[in-house]
Amino acid sequence: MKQSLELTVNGQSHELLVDPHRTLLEVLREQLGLTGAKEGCNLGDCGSCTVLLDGKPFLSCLVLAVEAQGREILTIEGLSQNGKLHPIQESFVQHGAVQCGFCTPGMILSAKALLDRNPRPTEAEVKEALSGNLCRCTGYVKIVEAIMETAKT
Amino acid sequence: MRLPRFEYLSPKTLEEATALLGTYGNQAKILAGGTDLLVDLKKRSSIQGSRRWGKKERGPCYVIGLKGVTGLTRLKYSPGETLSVGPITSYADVADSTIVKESYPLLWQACRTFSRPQIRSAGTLVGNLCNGSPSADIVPPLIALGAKARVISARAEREVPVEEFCSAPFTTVLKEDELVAELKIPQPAEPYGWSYQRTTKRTAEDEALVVVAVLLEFADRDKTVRRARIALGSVAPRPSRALESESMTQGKKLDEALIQKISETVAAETSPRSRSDYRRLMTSYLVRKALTEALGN
Ligand SMILES: Cc1cc2nc3c(=O)[nH]c(=O)nc-3n(C[C@H](O)[C@H](O)[C@H](O)COP(=O)(O)OP(=O)(O)OC[C@H]3O[C@@H](n4cnc5c(N)ncnc54)[C@H](O)[C@@H]3O)c2cc1C
Ligand code: FES
Ligand code: FES
Repeated sequence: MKQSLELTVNGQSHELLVDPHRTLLEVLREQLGLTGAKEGCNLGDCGSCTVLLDGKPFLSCLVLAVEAQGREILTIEGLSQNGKLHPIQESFVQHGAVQCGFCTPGMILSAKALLDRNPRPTEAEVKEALSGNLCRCTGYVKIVEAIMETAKT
Repeated sequence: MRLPRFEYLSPKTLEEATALLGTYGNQAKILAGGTDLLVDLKKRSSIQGSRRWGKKERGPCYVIGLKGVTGLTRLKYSPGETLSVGPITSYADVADSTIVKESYPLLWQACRTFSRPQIRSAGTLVGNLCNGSPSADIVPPLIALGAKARVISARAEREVPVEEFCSAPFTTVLKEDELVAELKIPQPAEPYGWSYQRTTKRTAEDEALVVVAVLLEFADRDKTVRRARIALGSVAPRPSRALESESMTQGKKLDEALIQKISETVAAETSPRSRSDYRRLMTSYLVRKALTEALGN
């Protein structure tokens, strides 16, 4: 049976009717049209579906939409302000840290979760923060560089 | 892979949750962080899954989410006594706690380094225990600390030492109508030393190959061992203590020769189901490293 729920995504509240077996990823992509969070493995392995719930990184393919009620959901679409890219996004562009782009939203949100708590991380801390995000284009070096550079500024 | 259909029940109290378990029995499953359960349900409902498990065993019709239970404690500490870890307490909750960092460094270290950030935000310690995996990372440290699980049902309440909680791979002592309400972890007696060691497979989840958690309680400052707990994971059908190795430390000061002897004994206390030679070798090596480190920690 569908349940009615209210989700707060990128500061905006949405009223929805959702089946309880639907994941947050499915609802973001299919009901809200927010396709920034990607569906890769759908089993928790790749991190491409990463979103922030109350500032912490979660895999939206392993969260029931009904359980995301009452939390601040941040997806990659909510990062730029008034058409201006977030500094981490800007740095990814500058460093060529994006190849096909499939992993990028998850990488950037994992990085944001880290930098919001720890604005001056070591390289090892950056790598640990990205340990749940796979990049099949193997662009890790540039991704780490892009995040370290943002942390300096 | 998508989740199969189910009804989602959101009890407001643990009493309501146990009443629901009493009503629905094996048709229902508790949902904590979902990082084991949701993966399992997706796999079961996939085409390969329905071949392997058959349609009947596709999974529960009722999922009982604990997120809506009001007033669940995340962490409660009574100085010098016990730490209470609730059923929705995540690894991130523990890693962020300065009290755990100072009073339970072994548990803190295991939670801080657990898996990866997204799994630390969602996954719970209780879920790790209840899933019953032989390679569960947090179970050996809980065993080393002498933790107990408070198990409740609509009928009764009991306490189960964590070392007795798993009975076989992915099987626990929980009955259909029971749930874990709390983990109670006694404060180790000062002075003590600890160590947490693990090595992994190279797979997507980096599942543990060997986990070693050691807690040494010393009689005095010269580090004569009063009580030792050496807990092993992923080297037997269930996480367990290396009792013979533990007894070799009793009343002794650990020197290099004794540590060497224990590391040889401990290999024989394992019963790995696969990659046994390598697992035994690594158990030996990691126990030697853990004992040496525990003397300094
Ligand atoms: C990508 C990935 C990486 C992982 N890495 C690791 C790793 O490195 N090490 C490791 O050990 N594990 C790992 N896991 C497994 C999993 O994350 C952990 O076991 C986690 O602690 C499970 O907790 P949960 O809250 O998500 O459990 P859930 O999935 O919510 O529940 C797990 C099981 O326990 C039952 N249950 C939960 N709470 C209760 C309760 N209070 N009473 C009774 N039954 C209950 C559920 O019904 C279910 O059967 C990984 C999983 C994924 C997807
Ligand atoms: S799609 Fe969620 S982790 Fe891969
Ligand atoms: S840029 Fe292609 S997966 Fe990372």
